[in-house]
Amino acid sequence: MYQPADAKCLLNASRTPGKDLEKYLNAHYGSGNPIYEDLCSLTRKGVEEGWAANIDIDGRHYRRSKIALPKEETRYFSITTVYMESEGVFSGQYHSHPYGEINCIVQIDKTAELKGMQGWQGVGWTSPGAGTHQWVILCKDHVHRDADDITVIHR
Amino acid sequence: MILIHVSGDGALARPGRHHPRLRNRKGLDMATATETQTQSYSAGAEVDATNNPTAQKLLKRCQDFFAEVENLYVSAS
Repeated sequence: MYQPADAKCLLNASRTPGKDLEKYLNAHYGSGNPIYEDLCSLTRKGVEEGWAANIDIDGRHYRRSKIALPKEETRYFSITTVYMESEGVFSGQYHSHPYGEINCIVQIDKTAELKGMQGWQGVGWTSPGAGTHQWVILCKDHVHRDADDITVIHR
Repeated sequence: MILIHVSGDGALARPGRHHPRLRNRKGLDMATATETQTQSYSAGAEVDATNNPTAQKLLKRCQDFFAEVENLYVSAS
């Protein structure tokens, strides 16, 4: 027997970091969505103003900064901005996502892409699930999309 | 090629939303794991949004986003 409430539970259960959320965000919160566009423009402005992604990790081409620590006001998400600049495939620091991660991709160069759960992602979102660990990988063009030497480990 | 990504971590890191696999593997409670992750992956202190209207707007829109996604999730319970 069809149970609307159960169906809703199944639908909503996907709203936690992972492949399903990545698909959902790209379908509903991608280019043209007011929140996504604001996040992109405000982040770019923050970089221009010098307070977002302003701390060097490995030179000026790889920087980040903490926008907010986990707190009730941010639904216990922390918010970090990361800036990456490269002419080819670039791997950031290896790290894990104990509770998953939601990445809003803010392009400056329109060829920039980030490796996500579904493959390379330009405008939009990636969302590694809870327990995943990886190098953040940035790619410029299609030549590198299927390169075997790109390693992203997801559990 | 330049890219910025704004990452939100810790969606499950709150009371009542423990992740058993993580808890068993790491042997940490949620708060400790969150703090460890934050410290290891973050650089610098939290941005001071006081007198920073752009940062205030960015935080507000992040909150809007989390609220929209969270509302969908919470309605299941």
